[in-house]
Amino acid sequence: MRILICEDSVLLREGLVRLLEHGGHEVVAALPDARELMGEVSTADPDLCILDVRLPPSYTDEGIRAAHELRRTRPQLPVLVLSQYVEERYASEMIAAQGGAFGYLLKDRVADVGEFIESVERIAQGATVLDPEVVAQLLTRRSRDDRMQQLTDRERTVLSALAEGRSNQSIAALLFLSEASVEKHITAIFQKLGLGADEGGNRRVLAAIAHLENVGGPVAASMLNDHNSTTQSGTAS
Amino acid sequence: MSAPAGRPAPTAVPYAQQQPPQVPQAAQHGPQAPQRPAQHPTVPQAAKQPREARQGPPFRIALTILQLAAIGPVGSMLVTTLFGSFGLGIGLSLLLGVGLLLLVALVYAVFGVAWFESQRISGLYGIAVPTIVWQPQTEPGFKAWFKALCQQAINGRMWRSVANFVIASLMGMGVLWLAQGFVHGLISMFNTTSSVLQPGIVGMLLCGGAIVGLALLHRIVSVAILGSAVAEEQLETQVRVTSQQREGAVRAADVERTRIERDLHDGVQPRLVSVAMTLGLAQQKIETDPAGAKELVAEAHTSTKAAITELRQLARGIYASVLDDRGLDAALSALAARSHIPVQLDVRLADRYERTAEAAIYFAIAESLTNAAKHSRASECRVMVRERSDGMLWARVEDNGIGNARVVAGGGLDGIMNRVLAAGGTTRLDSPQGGPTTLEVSVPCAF
Repeated sequence: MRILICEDSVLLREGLVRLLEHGGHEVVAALPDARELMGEVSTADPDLCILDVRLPPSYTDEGIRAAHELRRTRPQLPVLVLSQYVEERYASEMIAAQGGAFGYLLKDRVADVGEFIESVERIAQGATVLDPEVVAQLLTRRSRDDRMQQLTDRERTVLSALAEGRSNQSIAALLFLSEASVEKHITAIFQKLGLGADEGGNRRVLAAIAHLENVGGPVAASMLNDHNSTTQSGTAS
Repeated sequence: MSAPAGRPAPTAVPYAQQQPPQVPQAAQHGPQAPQRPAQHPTVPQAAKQPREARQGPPFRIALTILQLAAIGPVGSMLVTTLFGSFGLGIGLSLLLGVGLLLLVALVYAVFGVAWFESQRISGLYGIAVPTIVWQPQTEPGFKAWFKALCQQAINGRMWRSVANFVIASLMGMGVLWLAQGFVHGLISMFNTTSSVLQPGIVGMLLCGGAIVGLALLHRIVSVAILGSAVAEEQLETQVRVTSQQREGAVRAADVERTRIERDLHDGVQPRLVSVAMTLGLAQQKIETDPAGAKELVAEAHTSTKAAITELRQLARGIYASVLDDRGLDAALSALAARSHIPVQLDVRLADRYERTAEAAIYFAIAESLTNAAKHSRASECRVMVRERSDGMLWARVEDNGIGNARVVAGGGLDGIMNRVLAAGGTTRLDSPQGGPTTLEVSVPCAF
């Protein structure tokens, strides 16, 4: 597929180009900052954008802002945000923006070449992929939620894997379980959290994340955005 | 509601019911070992206001006159004795050691006079003259005592107070002399019965007026000489607090730098060296033993990833850029999630605060969690952060570990305390043997 990269470090930019081309993809543009991004996106029309969070000139959250801009102008364009550090607050904002597929991964993950390429491909196909670190943060922030307290340790592990965007098959492989018991766990989790248990891969991730996210900081458990999670998970019937 | 004392049960108390104490106090920790508070002054304390003389001006003038009359002869004798002893001390010190002893005693005597005078003036006129205190010794031992004595001997405030006493003595003599005139006038008034305008009455009026005048003058002079010390005292306190903050900032930076250097030196550097070695070995083996070389490369790959993670966590503990663009609450998520001990976060904050305050609290929490992971053997940590109504950002980190945390120079707690002190805040550590450990920090956060 055709990929656009926006990353300020020359070393990493070149590394990413090499990696992706090695994986059989085409890098249509590699930008050092987000200034030319919108123009490049409209001319090159890529299938996926990879953005770094900290970009010149201010090195704070330019990448996140660029991602939001892309969400507004081209909501269906898959975006992968890479960062030296992952922050649940950025992830929550991206999820709240409700666009197409998106990924949010630590830059370190690039070192696992095979897995990284696979993540990129899954995002391009419409999946949502979150770094385990982000999910751990979301879980930490929600750990005082009453409904989260009801989950068993095993269910919590499954929920983490679910929120990272893994398929049932991959969760089963990860936790050495049968796919049937993974399905059982997921059904139990969705029941306890009051989410619509549909089978649409990406939707269930969003449902789980929507439950985990804590937009706007300290929200009382009772004020959690139930409406949001049910509309996102939808009803498959 | 106060903090739960003792070990938190595995099923945590719902934090929502806990309110931060208005002013976190030792008393709120239930029956525990004695406190070892580590308090730093933050606000310059104004000198204590003495009890204002509640009586009106006439009474105060009368009191002044009486005091002056008493100080007159006593003070004159005392001042004469002091100066006499000074001469004697100087003279004898050239001959014998006795003179030196006399001079030492003289410093104490002068100090006593100065102390008495400052107390007298603050009592009489109700101005907050700071109490004159003996120069503190920097360390035990004779040398330090002698140094303090010498410093006390040339203390300006003491001598100003003594000067006021000397002036009061002279005025006192004047008052006595005028009182004599007054009495003379009184006697002559009774002795003569002729005219209305007798010299006796005139003398009486003149002397009485002069006495009152002296009393008023005494007040003006005393307030001018000693009153200036009030402002000076406040400035001194402010300077002391400011320099303490500066020292805290410098020390905190030093401690932090040392820690970063040590973390890099002990953690990441050797790891990278071993990666380079492993790759070097793989390079040599690649022709002869491709399978072995592959294994070595995989090993190097794993080590590299570990080094990257370590670097990330190290950098994250020093500073988080999310702190700048999303604030303290957002920045704490990653801290809590990467902690080795499970952390319960309870943060209720408005959006943003002053950067220094946010950074100091962030650093304190980051360091506390690192410390707890290293030493406490705790199974759970709780972090509470609130904005207090007195304009302070307040955080409490508790663990259910073994306690007995101590501030060691250059250690984590030392770094926290200095950093918080530099931000103008206070730290309180409570860590009895057997736990639990509680660290509370407050930092002013006016925004």
